[in-house]
Amino acid sequence: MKQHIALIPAVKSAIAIGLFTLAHAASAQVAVIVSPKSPVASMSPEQVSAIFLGKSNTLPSGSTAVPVDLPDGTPVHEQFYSKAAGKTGAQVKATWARLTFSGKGTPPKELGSAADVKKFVAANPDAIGYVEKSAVDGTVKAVLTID
Amino acid sequence: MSHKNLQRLPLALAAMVACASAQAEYTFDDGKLRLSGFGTVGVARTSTDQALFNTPGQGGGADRSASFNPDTKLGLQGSYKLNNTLSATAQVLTKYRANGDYTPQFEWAFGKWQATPATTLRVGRIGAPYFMVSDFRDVGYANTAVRPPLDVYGQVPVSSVDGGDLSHQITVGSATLTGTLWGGQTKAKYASALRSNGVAADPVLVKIRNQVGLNLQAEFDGGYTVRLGHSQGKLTVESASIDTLLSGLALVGPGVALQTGSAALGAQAGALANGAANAVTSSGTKTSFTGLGLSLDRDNIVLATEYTLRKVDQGTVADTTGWYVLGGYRLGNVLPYAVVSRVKVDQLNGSINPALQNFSAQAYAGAVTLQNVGKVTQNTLSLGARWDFRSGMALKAQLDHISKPAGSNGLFLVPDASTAAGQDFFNNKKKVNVLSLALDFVF
Repeated sequence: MKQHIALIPAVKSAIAIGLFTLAHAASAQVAVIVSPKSPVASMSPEQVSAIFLGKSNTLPSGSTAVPVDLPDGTPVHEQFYSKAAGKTGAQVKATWARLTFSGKGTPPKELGSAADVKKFVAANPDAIGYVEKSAVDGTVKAVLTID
Repeated sequence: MSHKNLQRLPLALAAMVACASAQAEYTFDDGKLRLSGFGTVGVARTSTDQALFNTPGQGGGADRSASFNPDTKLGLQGSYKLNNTLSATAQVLTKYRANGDYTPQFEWAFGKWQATPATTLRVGRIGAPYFMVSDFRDVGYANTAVRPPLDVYGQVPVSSVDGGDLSHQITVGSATLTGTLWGGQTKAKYASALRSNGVAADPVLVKIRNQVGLNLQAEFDGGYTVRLGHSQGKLTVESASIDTLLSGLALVGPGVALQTGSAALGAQAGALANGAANAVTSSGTKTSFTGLGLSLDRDNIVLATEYTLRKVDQGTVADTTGWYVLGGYRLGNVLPYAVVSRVKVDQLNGSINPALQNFSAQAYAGAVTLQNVGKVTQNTLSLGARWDFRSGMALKAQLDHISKPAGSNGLFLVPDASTAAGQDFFNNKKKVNVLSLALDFVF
């Protein structure tokens, strides 16, 4: 009997760990990054999604933003757009098709990997990108974290 | 053009789609030149052989035998950025046109100056912004349904204008307001019949000159957009058969005077013929188009509606009201939708007095046939689904149920109004079902 009672907290914590791990796997945190040289310190999800969906082309600092994207269909891409803008990859693609084929804008440049995005952002003071939070290092500056 | 030519584009597109992995658009290394494109491989068939279903103006369409012609198209777009404020854009669109073949045409060719981050000036050939989705009406991928509702979008046969626009954007709270002043001139061919009394009929040429328009758009947080647009211009409609009819009508008065020896009878006949000519002639005629649109794209809900008014002072092109309401709900990658739409002739521009028959039955019949082309009243219920099955591609299936009253051709192309089938279609109430499948892609 006593042994049985002692088991309960262990089971509880095992479940908690299991849930945490699942939640973590399903939605890793995404960090929006700029160059360490950028004067921008932080941004709201609205400001970020406006730039990535073509509604705005300026950074809070006033300079023209140079956004860079990860490939459509990758988990971080899906996570970023669903959390920052409430849109699926297909909706984002259709939004840019509307802007491109009405001559109003061109979609963010697409780079192949988080390493490429960091390299691009580090080298360009007006660049803005996003990567998995765990990939953020000293070469870039996080201005927003999306859960 | 040859039958072979008609088949080529759909087959080439199908092959392209089969091989291509919807590659993202191509940017050259210097980042200045950007190439992108869009297209649709679409097939449609209907429940009637009396008339053809198409995008109004095309020189052919679908009947009981399936056709690629109404919806299949390919657009290629190139943009060159000279510097941060100057760029040039051209778009070549190939689709089935009034002369009955797939002809590539420059849909756009303009230079753009981003004067300030909020002010843009474009000069050259630009998209003519009559409607809420004017600019991308041919981009199937950017639209929910297989095609923008024809009951509204079929009212204006031109899609680009040679001129320019000046656009300014301001932000008020969380809303973005855009005002666009545009103007220029345009012309397009429009097929309103394929044969006339068995003789091949050329498409008519529609010209709109001295166009000026103002569009106001407000985008609100949460995916709401409201748009109000108004434009005015001078409409001219020309064709060899209209010219023949007009010269025939001009001869009625003098002919009667000569035949009867009565100047009074000649004057009476001349007045009737003149009235008929006025009813079917547009030559520098004042015309206007007004549209109010609302759209919502939020979470899983898609809603769009437009209410439009077309006014023409004189000629075959009648005053019309067109509207639609579209609703859809996203279920993952599948978006089922429904559209209700209607186009109604509010007023014909002038009447043709039946007394003209007493002087010239032929001239009267010719004028009536021409005026009947403008009788486009119909309504449509569409049900469909869009499936975003992979990045940059969507597959759509749609069923349209179109009803048109007696004394109207609706927006159908009646190949020859003088045949028994053509007259039966015009004179009776008809219900036509259209089944469409479309594969849309962007690259």
